[in-house]
Amino acid sequence: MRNLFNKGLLYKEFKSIKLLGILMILSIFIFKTFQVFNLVYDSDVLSELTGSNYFNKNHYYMLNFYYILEFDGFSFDDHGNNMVVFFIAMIILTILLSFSQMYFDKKSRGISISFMIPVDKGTIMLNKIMVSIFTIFIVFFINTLIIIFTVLLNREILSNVIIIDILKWSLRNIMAYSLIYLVFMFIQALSINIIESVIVGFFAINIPYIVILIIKWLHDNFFISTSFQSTLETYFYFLWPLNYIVNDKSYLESFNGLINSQVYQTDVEPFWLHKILLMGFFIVIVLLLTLYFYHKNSFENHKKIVFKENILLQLAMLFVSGFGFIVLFLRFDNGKLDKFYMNPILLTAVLFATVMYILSSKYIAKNISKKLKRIDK
Amino acid sequence: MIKVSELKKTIGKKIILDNINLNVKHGSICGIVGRNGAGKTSFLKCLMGLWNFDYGKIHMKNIDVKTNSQFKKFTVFIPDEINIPNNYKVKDAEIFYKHAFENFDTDYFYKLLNLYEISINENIGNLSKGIKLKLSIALNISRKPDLLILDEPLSNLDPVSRKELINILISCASDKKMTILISTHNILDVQKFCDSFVILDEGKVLYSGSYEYLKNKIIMARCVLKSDIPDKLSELKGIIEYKIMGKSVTIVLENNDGNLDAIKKLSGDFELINLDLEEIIVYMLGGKTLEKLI
Repeated sequence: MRNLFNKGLLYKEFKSIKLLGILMILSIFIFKTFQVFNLVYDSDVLSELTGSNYFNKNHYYMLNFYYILEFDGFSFDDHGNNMVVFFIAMIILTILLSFSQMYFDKKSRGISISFMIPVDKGTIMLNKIMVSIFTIFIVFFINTLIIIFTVLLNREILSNVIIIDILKWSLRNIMAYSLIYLVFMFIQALSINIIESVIVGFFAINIPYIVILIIKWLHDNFFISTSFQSTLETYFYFLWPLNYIVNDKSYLESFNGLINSQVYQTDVEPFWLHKILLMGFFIVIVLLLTLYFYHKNSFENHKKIVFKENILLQLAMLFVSGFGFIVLFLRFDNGKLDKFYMNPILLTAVLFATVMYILSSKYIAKNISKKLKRIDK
Repeated sequence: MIKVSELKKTIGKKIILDNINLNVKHGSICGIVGRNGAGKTSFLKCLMGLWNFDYGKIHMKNIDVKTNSQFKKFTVFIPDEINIPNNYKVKDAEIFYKHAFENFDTDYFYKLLNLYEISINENIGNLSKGIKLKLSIALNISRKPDLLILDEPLSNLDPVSRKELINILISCASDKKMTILISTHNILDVQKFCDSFVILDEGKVLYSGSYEYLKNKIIMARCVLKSDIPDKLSELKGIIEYKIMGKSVTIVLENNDGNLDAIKKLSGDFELINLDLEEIIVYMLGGKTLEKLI
């Protein structure tokens, strides 16, 4: 353990994300306090919810993203909560966490002070990751404390089940945000510039959802049975970090105002520990890949340039970002996918994604030539 | 202290470092000289394990830098761009060093701060380049390293600060028995305080050794012009350059066996002129005829 962590590195990383950590804690404090207090002390909501089974099963939805179920566009609801703004803010802050930690190490020819310490690159990365995940943990720990505290104030809804569910919900969120953070770290360890990291990273976190779409398409058009499709979909939903954040309701669906869609409901409901194990496994895989690529490739501009010359990587990135745009522009018809491959909007979206990618590649190519010039100097 | 053998580094298809061999003895000051793009910084980055290399071995105190990062415990690298974040105060940098490095001597660091007149509460972003360099040196020397590697530290300093830094480096080598490796464009400084030096050009070592040795290898001779000298000179091997000025001819040549004798036969008598290191290097890099010397 002593070799894995270096006090100096931890100090540096805490310093680099100090402001963001404070922002995260503040945002969760402000949003959550308003939301939970409003909910607990709103007698109409309470009487409606406590009298139904719905509340018992879904109280943690209610405590966190209940209002998103009624969400229609970017307007504030009756209770003054705008959770979409909240979770978008949290996602952005999480992404910024990874950028802020990589920025100084990658911004110039200058060599980061981290590399002067007698530890290997993997350890440097591990220290970065640990500091951020610890920050995310603290944020949701505070969030959990706020919820538990407010629930304790109202004996009507207080029960052991609620407390356990709140803890489960917090753990799911910690894992989801940690995964988003790790995916962006991973993309940054590979990519040359921030713009590319944002484009590819954002869509990389939607890969499980893309796989779900492919499974649906195969089911609708080819040989996959309904039960097999349902099982696969369920498991991929548990690998999709945004799914955890919005409590199984697609934020993309909210974007389109398609509240009545049933596409996310599946017959199979794995045990909650099972979900967390699955998510944990996914996190470990991404973590190991991140450490590997950081150790192997990063901080060698020329290596990245050679890497970028690899046409397969370009195509893979095009695939990821292209499907990402498909996800964004996806349309449903009565809760079912309307043969998305035939949809002209989707075709336009793919075209748009391709153009965007070519443009960003040009930008990247410019950067490469700049870096080559620097190396020549 | 440092042993580099057959080091090769490529970027894409471009060869950045080609078959570098180097030995630096403990307690000595070694300069690395070369033009822009010669591969000085790349070489230092490879030495520090910051860049991977394709072929060869680098050992510091018998530790392989490619596989073991523990050599950084006794090695300090001061890059051309100071790497302490601008949002740090001097105090923050001290805390970082204290936690990151086992041997960091706080008392000694404060002594150096007093010597350089740097306040502990100063914001690093507000410091000038020269002061930042001094701070970086204070922080790194306080680690009590055995090996100090500096990448072009003299290029951004005024003459007074440059002299101060040179004095510090000399005292580090003589009093604290540190080994120092310094890359620079300023050849005359190297001539003044380096025990040995390496000339890099296009990723290759053009020369490695002492100034004294090199001084005897490249010489300038002035002799009386006779009508057939220019024709016969061009037949001689190892002639780097010759200039005819009035009735005399100045010849720069490699001091190979028989060269001077041949000139003596041509002109009867000649006068040897001492070249300084800068002139020697300019002739070497311009002529590139000295690969045989390595």
